[in-house]
Order: sequence, then structure tokens, then C-alpha cells
Amino acid sequence: MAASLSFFARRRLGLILALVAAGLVAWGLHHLYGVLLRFTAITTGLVLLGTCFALAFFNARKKLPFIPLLRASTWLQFHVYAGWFAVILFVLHIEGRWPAGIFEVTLAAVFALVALSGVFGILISRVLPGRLALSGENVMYERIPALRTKLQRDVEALVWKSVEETKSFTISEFYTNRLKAYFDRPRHRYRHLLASKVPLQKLLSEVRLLERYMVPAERLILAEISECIAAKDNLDLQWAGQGLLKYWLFVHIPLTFSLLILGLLHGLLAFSFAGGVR
Amino acid sequence: MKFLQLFDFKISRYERPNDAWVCGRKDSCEACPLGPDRKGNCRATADCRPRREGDRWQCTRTDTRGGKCASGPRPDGSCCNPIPPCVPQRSVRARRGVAVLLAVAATLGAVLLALGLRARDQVFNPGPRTAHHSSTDITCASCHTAAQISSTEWLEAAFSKKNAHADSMRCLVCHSLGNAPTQPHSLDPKARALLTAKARARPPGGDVPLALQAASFLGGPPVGADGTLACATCHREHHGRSFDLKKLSDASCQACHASTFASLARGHPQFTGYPAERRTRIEFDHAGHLNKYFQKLDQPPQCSDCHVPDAANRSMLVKGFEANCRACHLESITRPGAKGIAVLRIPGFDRKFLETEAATLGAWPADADGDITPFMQVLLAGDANVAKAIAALKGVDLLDLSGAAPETRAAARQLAWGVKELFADLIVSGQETMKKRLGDAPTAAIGQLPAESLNAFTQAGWWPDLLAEVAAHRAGQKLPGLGVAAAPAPAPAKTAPPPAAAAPTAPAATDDILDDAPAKPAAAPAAAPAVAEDILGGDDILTSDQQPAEPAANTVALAGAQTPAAQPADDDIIDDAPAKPAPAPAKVAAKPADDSLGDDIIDDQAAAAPAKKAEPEQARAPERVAPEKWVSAGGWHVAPNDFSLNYRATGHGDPFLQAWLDLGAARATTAAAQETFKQLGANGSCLKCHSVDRAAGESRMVNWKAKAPMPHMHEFTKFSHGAHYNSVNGQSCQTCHHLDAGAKYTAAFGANVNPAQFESNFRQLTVSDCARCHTAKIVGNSCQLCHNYHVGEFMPTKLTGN
Repeated sequence: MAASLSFFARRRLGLILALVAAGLVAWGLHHLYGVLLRFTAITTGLVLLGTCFALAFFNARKKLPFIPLLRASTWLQFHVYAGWFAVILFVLHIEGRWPAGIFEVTLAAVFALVALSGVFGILISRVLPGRLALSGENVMYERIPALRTKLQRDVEALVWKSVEETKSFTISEFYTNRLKAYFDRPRHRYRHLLASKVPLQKLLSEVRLLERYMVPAERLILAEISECIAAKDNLDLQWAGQGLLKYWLFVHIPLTFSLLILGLLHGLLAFSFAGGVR
Repeated sequence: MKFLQLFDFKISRYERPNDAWVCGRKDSCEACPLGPDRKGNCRATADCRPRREGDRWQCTRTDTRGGKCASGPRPDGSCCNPIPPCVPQRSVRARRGVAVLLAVAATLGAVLLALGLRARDQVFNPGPRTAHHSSTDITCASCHTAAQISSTEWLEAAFSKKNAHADSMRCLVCHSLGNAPTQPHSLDPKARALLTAKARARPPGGDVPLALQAASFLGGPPVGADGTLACATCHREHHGRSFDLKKLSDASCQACHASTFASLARGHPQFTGYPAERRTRIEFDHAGHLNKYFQKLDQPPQCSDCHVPDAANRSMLVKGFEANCRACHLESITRPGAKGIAVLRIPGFDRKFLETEAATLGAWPADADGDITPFMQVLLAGDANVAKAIAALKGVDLLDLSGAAPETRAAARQLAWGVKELFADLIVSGQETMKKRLGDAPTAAIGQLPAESLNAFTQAGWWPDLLAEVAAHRAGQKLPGLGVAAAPAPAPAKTAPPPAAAAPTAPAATDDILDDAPAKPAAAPAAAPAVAEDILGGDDILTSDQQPAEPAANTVALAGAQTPAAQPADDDIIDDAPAKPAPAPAKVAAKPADDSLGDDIIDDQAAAAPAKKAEPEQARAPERVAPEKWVSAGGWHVAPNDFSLNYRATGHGDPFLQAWLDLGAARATTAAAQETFKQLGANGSCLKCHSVDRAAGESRMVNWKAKAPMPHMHEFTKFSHGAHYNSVNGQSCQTCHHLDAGAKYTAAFGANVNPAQFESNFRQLTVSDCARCHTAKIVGNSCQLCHNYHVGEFMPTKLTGN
């Protein structure tokens, strides 16, 4: 059966089993050290802090590509599953009780945010790239603003062309009243993240309604404009998707550094106030 | 589908998303080819940098910018298409870096601010404390040493071992846990080692839980190098108001133990000596009473007739003497025939010894033949010489010193003077002497010693010149008088009335002139015989003529001696009469020995008259009862025939006897003192029921009370009778307590002072007795249900933290 699984499936299965095993070992040791009246919170806290530092090193690893420290994908796998292990350690560390002190609550909340943002990052990393790849032309995130500008200029040129060739203002008025705002800036970010095509279909239906009142020359121009509308919709989708894939790290990484600082202080406090218990 | 991106090396720019800065006109498709520098400065100048070829400038604009321009460079070699400067923007990656820096700065700022706040403790408080520790008086510094140091010192404190148990010491400010508070179980290591050895000697319990077996591979509990355990090892705070600080799992309880087991029913060590871990404090033979004495009762008593639960409903107490014992045993304590206990007594010496030593010893009643009482031994023990003499005379018969060695005679002499000095001090200083000689003894040991009783020893003619003799002896002078005189033995009988008056409630006829005689006891003794025939005592011709008085028949005295007090005998009849108490003894000699009213001259005359006239029909004055009967409710009285001052107990729990037994027990650290205590105990019947235990330093301790709850005493095992009443609903105490009729219960008492050597009236409880109900599913069988962790005698926790 294992042979029938793909490499990625086998890797995922293996890593999940390893995570479960590590979690059981951690739980068992936590229980046994608890039986021995050891201060298990100190032990789990130290391991948890060490795990957090190891997870944070993934970011440093990405900035040090010249050092031969395994492949980035390997690091990512380690990061993902070590993150889950950190969540297990965290539950053991707090012994199932949500802390109550101001500092402790802050620290726990930061950890929870880091963990949740990490989980969110994993989810969107699994979902969005595939959807973006299938939605249309794949564009580079950094080029999207320029492409949007270029697209808008192309549409405006078509509008001028319609005026000059047909002496009709139907398309120009439609552009002024309806399309200009659409092309001016990215639109429907959240609809795109939810994979909704409703805004595009609605706009295209308006275009089709307008089409019946046009002469053939105008219809040709309007058809080109419709293509631009679809291209703009794809740009907006790419912008929303790729932006989310980049901007979730604006939560995950800064909070990780906050977590490390607060964690170090928490450890210092724990050792200082532990009453001689180790 | 319209494609927007064209990838071609001539028309497609290379994107560098890792750069920190991007061109400000990038979004308008007019980004310059150079882009900003690393510091975010715009480097835009022109579309190209013309190249000089010979004397001409050539355009170098790239294909991506449109290729060579038509107009070409200017004559000065500059590009004809200058690019206006832009305001570079940070790239996404750079903005993320800024976000990280901001987050770090914000976190550090918040932390530093919190550390510097006055409310630092509130910010870093990890959570609410238990209700017991929620007093506003308890601050962080009450429990944590680190709370008293600055934040910068935390780093050192975190890794320092010198303050490892400093926090535990703070717990002990409020929680008293004995002399070894941080030792496991608060037990002295030696005591713990004994228990450990005992546990190791037991056969293994078997069925060791898997968790314990696995944990054993990871080491043991976090015991310090000195064997101590920090309080926080078991007690973890800041988990909420209702958190149970004392809760431990059974596995944790056994983590340290030498022998481990699965549960109460599976492997728990069999009880040893439970519940009776010692003999009862009060000797009460349940088997004897239940099977013998109580059988005579119409209705046999129930357990609850004698036992009652304590206020906490935990222990069963004995109701006490009044409720349980009085009905049958009071008479044996206060029976009418009891004479009381001789407290002070003139000891007897060899008559010949007294005669030969008369010059050095002074007067001494030759008929005295008693021993020194244990009370006197205690009172004399303060004088090293006398104590030495007592020790030297041990086993010597003082009534036969005929063949005694000189050293023995010297010791006897020393003892005699010690006794005299004791009596003299008591007469002069009274209770103060007792206090001084008894040291830190309780006031009850003085027993409200009355002066009148002591006066009897001089007034009775036994030691008529006692004070003068002692004064001369202490001054190193010759005794006031020479020779041997004898006073009549019955004299004490005549002087019995004063002793009777010595009883606390005895009437003192202070308004009787003739009764004033005792006020000048020293004035008359020597002259007493001379006036023996003088009823009124006023014809003191002989005494005024300084005629030597006849010595009392049975008193060895200095012949012809006149005490300084007797010399001033003047012609004052009124004064003289009382100054001659001796007539009374002379009269008494003709009267019944038990007439204690003889000190009243008028009465004597009245009594004598019928005797002379032999008129039986004349009503006789009522005879006064014997002194010991006179104080039938307890008190002091003189026993004339014993030359002693006796004390009769007031009843059960007499404070005087109790105080003396406690005193003797506490001081019984030597063999001699133990012998004295034994003699003290032989008086009265206290120790027939109240057992005596060996105490610290080989001293003794009398158990006056049955076992009583000791709130400060924490033992390994705890049991609540109240909690079990419902469980044995409808059943009797015999559910657990089975009488063992064959046990040699009484053998553990008497001379035995080791309470651990005993046989209980009841069979021991077994584990199975408890395990019938105590299972995990029924009423629970956790260790802490029946066991305390901290053992020893602890004071209650203080209410305030500081």
C-alpha cells in the first residue's frame, strides 16, 4: 500500500506518525516526571522555548541560502511539524489550564496567534497556489501594479478608438460610469479569496446588455474591452491570493519575535520565582 | 484570453523582490532601470549613459527601454531623455522586516515599561492564588525572594543555588512544620532512616504500578543535596482560588517510598499497632470491666456511655472520671478512714545518738520513729550537703546508729540539722521557703501550706527552741542550753487542737487570751513541764525564779536551757499564761489521747471536774474528732503520733498531689530522684489508674488525662470516626473494635514506664478491615484519604503573612 502512495503522501504520513510518536513520548515523560514531583513546567517550558527558537531559525535559514543546511523544503517540513509539536508542548506546559496573569495571558495569546497564523499559513499555502495557477495567466506579484496600469491604458485607448471610429459615446460613457473605477485599483479582494466569480460575471453581463445597442464596430471594441475586464479580474485574483500568501507572514514572523522575547522573560521569571524547584 | 506578461530578454525586466527598495514609479510602468540604491535613494538620471566613440556620443538605451533614441545624446554627452527622480518605496519583504523591528521594539518597550512599573508584581503575577493565600497582607515578597530584588538581578537569581530554599523558608514564616520542615515528611533524617529501614524489611507489596516502574528509570524526586525538599515541589500556587494545593497522586506519594504497591487492597503494608500504638494513658481494663464488673449491672453499658466524639467529630474521647469512674471509684480515693499523706515529718533517730549528740543537735523528740518523707527529700535536695547526707545514709537504719561509723553519724547529724533548718525556714518564711526550695514548681505544689500547722512542731514541745537553735547553729555558736530533756510523748496529743486548727477552715479562737499562747511558742517550751500542774498558768514562780524546768519526758533537749524567748518571762499574768503552752500537754496527759480540745484551759477544767467528781450524769463536752477526720474534705492536719504534718486529698484530681507527682516525675532524672518519685507515687492512689511514661532525659511523666485530640499533632495516619458513623449505620463499634479478652492488658502498667510495651484490650485492625469499603469506586482509597504528609507537632498557621 505504501508503494502506491506518492512521495509527498508517504512523507506526510511518515511525518504525521513521527509527530504522534513525539507527542506521546512528550506526554509520557511529562506524566512520569510529574509522578516524580519534578517541576514539569520547567522542563516542558525549556523544550518549548528551544523548539520555538528552532522554528524561528527557519526564517534565518531562508536568509542564509549560501550555507548548505539542507533544502528549504526540508526546513519547511520540519517547521510545519515542529510547529505542531510545539502546540503539543504548549498544552502540556499549561497543563490544560489557560493562564490567568496579565503577562502569562499575553504570552499564551501571542503563542496562540503565532500558532494559529502558522496553521493559517499552511492552509493557504496548500489551497491558494493551485487555485491561482488554474485561474488564468500567472503573473508575478511585483509586476501586478504595472500590468494593471498598462491594462487600464489599453482599455482607455480602446475607448478613444470607439469614439473616433463610431462617433458614439456609448462605450466611453460606460467606461466613465462603470469601468474606470474597476480598472483604477484592485477590486473584490475578499470575493477573490473566496473564489467567487460573481463580480466578474455581473460586469460581463452588463457588457452583454450594452452590446445589443451597438453597431458591429463598437461590438468588436467592446469584445476587446471584455477581454481586458477578464484579464483585470485575473490580476485582482492574483493580487489578492499572492498578497495573502505574502502578508500572513506579517503576523506570523513579527509575533514570533515577540514570542521569543516574552518566552525568554517568562523563563527567567520561572527560574527566579520557582522556589528552588527544578 | 489576454496575456499581459511578455517574457523576453529584451522586453522583460528582471524582478528582484528581495531588494529592500523599489522604484517609486514602478506601478506606472515607468520604473527606471537602475532602481533605488540599498539605502533607498533614487539613482535615476536618464534613459541611458551615452558612450563616446571618437568624437561622437552614442546612445546606449537598452531594448527594454525602447532601444536607441532617435535624437541621440546631446553635444555635451548627456542623455536627451532625462528621468525625473522618484520617491523609492520599500519592497514587501522590507516592509515585513520593518514590521518585525516594530514588533520587537514594541515588545521590548512593553516589557521594560512593565518591569519599571510600580505595579510590576501585578503584571507578572502568573495567576490568582488559593483562597488561603489571598490575603491582601500576602505580597509577592511574602513568598518569593526574587520579588525583593531588582529585575536586573533576576538573571543571577535564576541560576543561583544559594537561594534554592530561600522561598521555602518564607513559607515557614506562617507555616510551622517542626524542627525539620524541609525534610521529607518534616521528619528528622534519622527518624526517617529508621522508617525506611523498617519499610525495606517488609516483604515487597507486588503489583507495582507501571508508571512507578517507568518513572524509576528517570531518577527520583528533586531532593536537594542536603536531603531537603522545597515546598514548591508539591505545593504549586497561582492556579486559582479553589486549587487544591495539597493534592498529590498516589503514584507521586510512592515515588520516594522504599516499598510500593498498587492500592490499599493490593499490596498495602499490613497495619502494625493500629489503632493502638501505645498503652492507654489511663489504666482501664475493658475486658475486665465488660466481662466482670459490668456484668453485675442491670443493663450493660454501651460504648457511648463512656466515650464521646470530640468537637471535630474525629476522635472518640473518654468522658472522664466524673462520668465514668466516680460511681465506683470515688470512695477508694476519699474514704473516711484515709489518714492522708505525711508531707513533713520529724524523722526518728537512735535515742542514744540523740542523747550523745544533744549538745550539737539540740532538742529532738526521741519517740519520733518515722522516715523522711519524699516531699522532704525534694525540699532538702536543694542543700547539697544534706542531699549528700541523705545519699550516704541510704540503707542505714537511723533508729539504730549504735555501731555506726563516725562518717555515718556525721551524716545523720547533717541530716538532722537539715531537717531542723527546713522546719525553721518554713516556720519563719512559710510558703516562701517552699517556693524557694521547689524552684520553678507550680504554685499548687505549695498546697496553701498553713502557718498554724507548722507552729505545732514547736508548740507541741517537740522542738521548743527550734528557731533559737537553728539561729545559733547557723551562726556557729553554742546551742542555747546543755543537757538532755525529755518531753512527754502525749504532748502532741494535747497540742492536737492547734493542728486541727491548721486545717484551712479550722476555727481560730483569736479572741481567746489563752489561745494567744501559740503566739509565743518559743517562750515557754523549756518551762512547760514546770507549769504542768498549773491550770491557769499564772503562777510562774518557778519560771520567774529561773528554775530549770523538767524536760519533756520524751524529748531530748538541752537540760535547764532557757530559750532567749523564755527569759523575759515577766510577772504579767495575762502574758505569762499564754507563754506557757506546756501546761496543756501536762493536762492532756491525764485526758484521753484523742481529745483534741485540750488546749482550752476552761474546757480542761470543765473536763477535769467531772472526772474528779465522777458525776456521769453531767453532760460532757462533745469530743473533737481525730484530725484526719476533721479534714475529711481534704486539707492539712498534724498527726501527733507520727510527728508529722499530713495532707489529705480533697478528692479526685487534687491539685497538691497532682503538682507534686508532676514535680517528682519531671525531676526523676536520676535513680535517687526516681526512687523519690516512686515514694511520692506510693502515697495516695493516683498512680493506680494514671500511668507513668518515660519522658525526655529519663524523667517521668504522669498521664493525668486519657487520650485527647491534639490539633497540633499531625500523625501519618488520620481517621475520622464521624465520617464512619454513617458507614456502619445500624452496626456497633464492634464492627471495627473487637475485644481481645486474652490480652494481658494490665501487665503493661505498674513499674513499666515504656508506653510502647503493651497489649491492647482490642485486636488490631487489618488492612482488609478498611479495604472492604475503601476501594477506588466506593469511598476512595487514595493515600491522602488516610495519611498526612507532614508529621509532627505543628502550631496553627498564622493568619497574617508578615
